[in-house]
Amino acid sequence: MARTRARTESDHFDLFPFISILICTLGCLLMVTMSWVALALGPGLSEQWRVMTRGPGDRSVEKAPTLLEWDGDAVTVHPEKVRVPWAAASVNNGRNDSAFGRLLELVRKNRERQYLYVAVRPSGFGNLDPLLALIRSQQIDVGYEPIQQDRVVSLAQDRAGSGAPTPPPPGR
Amino acid sequence: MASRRRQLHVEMSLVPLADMLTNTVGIMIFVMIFAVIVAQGTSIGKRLPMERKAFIPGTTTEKQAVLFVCSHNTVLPWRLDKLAERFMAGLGKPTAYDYEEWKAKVNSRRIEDDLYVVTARCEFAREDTWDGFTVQLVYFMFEVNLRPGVRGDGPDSVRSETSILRRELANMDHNRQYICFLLDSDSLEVLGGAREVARQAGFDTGWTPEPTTWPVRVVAFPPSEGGKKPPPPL
Repeated sequence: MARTRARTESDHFDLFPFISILICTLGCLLMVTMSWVALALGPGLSEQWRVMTRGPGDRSVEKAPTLLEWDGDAVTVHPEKVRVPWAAASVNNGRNDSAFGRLLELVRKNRERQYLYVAVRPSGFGNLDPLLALIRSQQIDVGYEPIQQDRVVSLAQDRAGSGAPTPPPPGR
Repeated sequence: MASRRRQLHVEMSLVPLADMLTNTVGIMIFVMIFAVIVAQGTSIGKRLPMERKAFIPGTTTEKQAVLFVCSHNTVLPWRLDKLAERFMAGLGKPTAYDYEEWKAKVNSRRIEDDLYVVTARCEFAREDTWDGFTVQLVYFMFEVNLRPGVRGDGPDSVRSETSILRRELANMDHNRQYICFLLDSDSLEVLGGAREVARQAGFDTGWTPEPTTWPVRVVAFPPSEGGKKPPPPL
């Protein structure tokens, strides 16, 4: 009887500690992954806006947008992300040598194909009208969309399917 | 006897377990890297519409803007025009002889509907002249407040079938009207849902920044210069 018990005890091998270690490691890594993803999707989310095609009759599919950011103090010109203070951007009603002025000039010359799209931060709500009035005064089409204060925004470069016209081939 | 004891002693190798552990950790790290890369490169498909004039079909008449207030992350219809009309009904015009009475009526009047309570304040200036006196209205201000317990549609409830927004839209004509949201900086979330609901119902939508704190005070007199016109839809 005593011999049988001794054999049973010596044959038994407990896997529980090893499985525990495995599960704990899995759990830790899963938590790290979830936290990282949550952070990436939450406060650190960067929005990349991609132009979506709408139904027929929507003029927004005929033109290519250029993104601007407006925070109330400065205009940020995309895709270079050059920040131009409003005091400099509004000189001579936008006809100036700032990055914003140059962009306005470029879009104005090409206004049949391009328009400006303004991402408006809450801090820029109070004085959005002067910016829009300046853009409209250049006969440039404009669109605008509110965006969270700290959210990074960019325009997807790949505009396939947007319906925007491609530049004509160089003349012979 | 001694050899049997030796046979019973089993030597456990930890190598397979270490393999298993390492493989699991490796797979999880792969999953982690992949998840983070995917999450950080989130691309949001968006309409990026331009401002445009919306016309009543078959005419050159522009659609009429109907205002909705987005504040405190809720959305509510803005009905001051109708409420002001009701407020002024029956008051008549003040004269030099009854302006005190008229002022008392205005300052004590209270108009309600299912969402709002409207009161008003006015003030006159009296100037004595050699042959009598003249009276002039100095200001007239409406004060619009929410009825107790009223809360607008939140980001989730705005999509429900019983939302205030849907109820209002049911009484509107998308061929003649468009919706302009007066957006406060704390209500970006509800704007998304409200726009979606409005578009599903066939309405053009636009928005304009407008800070809102209840009660909202609207000066009707003296009239503001130019007056802000709702922007066209996007």
